[in-house]
Amino acid sequence: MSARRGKLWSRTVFLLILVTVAGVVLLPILYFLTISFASNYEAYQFPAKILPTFSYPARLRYNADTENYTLLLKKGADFEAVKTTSDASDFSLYCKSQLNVLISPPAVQTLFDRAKASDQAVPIKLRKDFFRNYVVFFILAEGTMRALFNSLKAAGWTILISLVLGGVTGYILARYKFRFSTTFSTSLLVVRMFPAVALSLPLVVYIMRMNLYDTPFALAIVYSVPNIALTAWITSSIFKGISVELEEAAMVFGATRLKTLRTITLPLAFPAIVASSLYAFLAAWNDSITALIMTNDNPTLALLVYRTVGSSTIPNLPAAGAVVLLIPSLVFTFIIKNYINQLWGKVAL
Amino acid sequence: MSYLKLSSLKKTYPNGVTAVKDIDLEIEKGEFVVLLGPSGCGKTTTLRMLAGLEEVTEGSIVLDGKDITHLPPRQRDISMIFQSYAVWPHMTVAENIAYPLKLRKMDKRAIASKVEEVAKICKIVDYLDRYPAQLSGGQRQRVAVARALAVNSKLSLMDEPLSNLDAKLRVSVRTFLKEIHRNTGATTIFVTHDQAEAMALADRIVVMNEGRVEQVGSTREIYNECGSLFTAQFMGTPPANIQKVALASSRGRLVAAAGGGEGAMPLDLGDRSAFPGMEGLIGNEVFLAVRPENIAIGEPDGVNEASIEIVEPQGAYTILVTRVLGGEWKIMLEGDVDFRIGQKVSLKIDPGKVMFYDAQSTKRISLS
Repeated sequence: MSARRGKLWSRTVFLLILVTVAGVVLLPILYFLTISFASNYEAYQFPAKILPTFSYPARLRYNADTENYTLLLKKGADFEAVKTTSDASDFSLYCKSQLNVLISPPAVQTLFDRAKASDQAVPIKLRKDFFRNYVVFFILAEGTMRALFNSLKAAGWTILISLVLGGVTGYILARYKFRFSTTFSTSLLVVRMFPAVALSLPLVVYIMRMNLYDTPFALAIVYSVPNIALTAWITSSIFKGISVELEEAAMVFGATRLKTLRTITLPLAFPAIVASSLYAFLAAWNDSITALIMTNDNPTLALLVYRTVGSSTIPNLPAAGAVVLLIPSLVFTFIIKNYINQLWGKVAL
Repeated sequence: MSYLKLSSLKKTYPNGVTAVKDIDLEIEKGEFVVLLGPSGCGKTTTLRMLAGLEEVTEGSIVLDGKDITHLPPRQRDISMIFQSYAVWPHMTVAENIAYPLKLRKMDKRAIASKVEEVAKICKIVDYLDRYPAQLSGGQRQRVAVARALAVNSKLSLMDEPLSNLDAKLRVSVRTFLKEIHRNTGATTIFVTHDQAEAMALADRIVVMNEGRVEQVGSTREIYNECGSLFTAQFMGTPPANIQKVALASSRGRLVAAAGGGEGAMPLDLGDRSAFPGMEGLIGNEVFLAVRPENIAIGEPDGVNEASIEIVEPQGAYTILVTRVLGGEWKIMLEGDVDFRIGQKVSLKIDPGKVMFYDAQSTKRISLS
């Protein structure tokens, strides 16, 4: 009986911890997502909403004495007057810019007429253009698509360079014992200790001489520097775990060294390769500082978001940009996640 | 011309360690040869040189009339079973067996039927679609055997293939390997440090020590006619009783006195007529070796009396530990015999089975 109660206790505590951790991780993300869908009006409201809204509960009142109309939005239990105008197109513009509501002046006029016919404030429905911020972000941040492609190119090159150089280093560290091999592998990590700026500033001179300035490839070179070391570490530990006898068996049974690498070693190291490419991708994708130094007319998406943050006083547009930035890396991570714990026959090796 | 010939084979590692010093060996087609020795004796290095996994420092390897000394492994037409089985974990059992065949550019249908065939022999037909991680150690071993069997190579190498199995399985797989060899007649070289394995499997055993061949021979020869003190010490469970003695003659009998001479009773080996050609050795110091099972026990009669110190029953046989010539000697008796500790007995040594070794060279002194 007491054992059962003990189990219940531990389950409860476990669940509480789980919920807390999930809350700490998920709530900010949710809030961030909500902000990215918020209109300017909503972004200034306090307390902020946790979930995004799709429409406003609103009323329209005709003021007979001044011959104009007042828009009232629900705030708490009451309604707050937010806009008073007699001009339909002025009203329409306000809706668009402050509320993310698209409503044409003739449609506004119809609402005006309805309000005029009633002696009370009439309830009206204002439906939000849900993805307005994203549309604005793509319009406002000029060349977003190009920046997206630049980011993808830089990330692709970073993955390639890191995997080839880091993978080879990792294989050598795992398979061959030479003097100072441990010193060498430790010193690889020193490279990672340098801040990106410290690396990119001197490198920019060489990049310029090589006529690579302002290209995604040049960015990839800088991103690869710390990533080669990381890839070497990740892959060498996996290569060490792959028994040499597996490779020898392939060679005894008729495979060349290259064939052995291709059909035995690399497939077995696949999880490490995938994990390393994820790191390389994220490093390239999330960087804006190096891109700020190394690019001019060809910014990456992260740099573009960074610039939008600088030029905006309301958080909703940058939030939309950040979500745009987040989606590809989320997609990439989720695709790749399945391969990180690659199991053959669903049994851990 | 023998099928496989190793001539003055030598291996020195880059760090200066010489693992194999000068090995000469000739093996006939269809033979099952076991390289036996303690760890570090160079047996695995020799095998790996045969496989081409280890660079040969000096000497040559000729297989079926072709010098393969410096060929890469894939051009040697060999198969191998590894200690860790080396079954590729990312391939199913069928893919594992088919991999070498694909490399040999066999056509798909021939591969499928070959896989089926060897899977039947190795009793793994039901597991062909499984991954190695889903198999037990014994089953993985069978996959490794099937893979080696499928390629039908000129030479079959086995590097301690049974050492990762539990004791019970080891004996059954041993029988299985012998059965396969009987059916295929493949020339096989098998490396082990386990003498029971070696004796059970081998047509010929090559005893190795410190990078050299100590003795080559059949199980019977290796066990009963140990060519060197090392072999006598290495072979047998428990190994031969060995003592440095001074030989003497006393009233027509050959007597061994303890080398140290710490007052221990001399050992009566038997009538001198049982040791022809021993005249020259009387008075000399030699190593005396007697296998535990070649000593019988009788009622105390004043000759070779000793008291039993330890009794180790083993079911099928019993091991007695006594003190002879100041050293600890083991005696092996058939059956579950009943002895008390401290009991006085007389030791009867089978004169025909006594072995003498030169005190300096430790080589066998043959009696003519």
